[in-house]
Amino acid sequence: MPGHDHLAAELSHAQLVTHLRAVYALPRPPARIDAAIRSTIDLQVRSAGPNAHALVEQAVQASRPRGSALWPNAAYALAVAALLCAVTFTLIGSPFRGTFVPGSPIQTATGSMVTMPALVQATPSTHTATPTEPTSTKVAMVPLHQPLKTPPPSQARMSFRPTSVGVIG
Amino acid sequence: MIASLAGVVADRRGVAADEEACLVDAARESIALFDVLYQRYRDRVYRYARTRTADDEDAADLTQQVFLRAIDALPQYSARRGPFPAWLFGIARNAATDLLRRQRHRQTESDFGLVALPGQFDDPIARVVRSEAIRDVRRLLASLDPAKRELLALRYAAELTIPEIAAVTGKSVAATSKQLSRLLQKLQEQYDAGA
Repeated sequence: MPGHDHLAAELSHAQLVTHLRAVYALPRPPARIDAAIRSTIDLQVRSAGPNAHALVEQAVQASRPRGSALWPNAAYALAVAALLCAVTFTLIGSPFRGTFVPGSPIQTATGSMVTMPALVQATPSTHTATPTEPTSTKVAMVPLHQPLKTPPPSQARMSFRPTSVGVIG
Repeated sequence: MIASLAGVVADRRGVAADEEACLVDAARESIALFDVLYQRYRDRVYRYARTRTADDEDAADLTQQVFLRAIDALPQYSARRGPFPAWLFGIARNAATDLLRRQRHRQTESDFGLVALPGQFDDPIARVVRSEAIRDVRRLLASLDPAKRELLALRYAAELTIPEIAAVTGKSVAATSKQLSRLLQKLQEQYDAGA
């Protein structure tokens, strides 16, 4: 009988589901879980209380160093700039290399010592200072492309190499 | 008659779902109300955890971890992602996978039939079912691969609906329904053959 078979199958299916539920049925979990979860909830409730925001703000204020709040940022920026300079100088060389004091002797590639004339010379100012300008000594810059007044023969083919320290060749 | 009963059941489920959505919203507003959700899902999560762990202690630890994670993640929960049970058991599933990964050297995945489960059952149905039949079903479950065992655990230990299981496993409702139906049929055939 098909109807009987169907009923038997249904019963068997229901029986299987009943057995499955029985397999997965377990006693209640241990009470320690309840305690842990409830204490966590209590903590969250306390931290989310009406005064929590003010307390957090007070703690932040107390942890800040005295003085301007700008200072730590400025110090940090200076430190970063110094680090960047150090890395740059290491990689491509210092821009201060190869500089010399005007008038001091410099050794050429042939070994002879020459003295460079001053590129910067103080000249008396012919400019009349306006009331808004400070009346200080004016310094005129001599352009580098102008020929030197009396170039010695050893300096005729002189060129500057920024990367070589004090050596002209 | 059956249609009207189905309608009543659907209505009740709808009411329960609405009530639960309100509860979840309230718990998001005030975490103190999470305790209600915890009480509602504690046993189900523990039962599911027990199917993914080797002993009761690991299951208890896993259950605790699931709810702690849920408390942390509750502000990010949105009903648009799916029903709350699916979200919660998604956390449980991930936590169980993490635990398994951490304890790979140990036998952590419970295989029903080989690992003895506690003999005391709160479920009154279990008291009337013969222990031999339960042992047979355990043996059948132990022969299944972990994915199929997990499907049954989500259905009968976690008591999730098929759409909720689909949301947890990331499969379609139709595929989940078909997979579960085939699995039960296969188990039933094996059970009948064994009997």
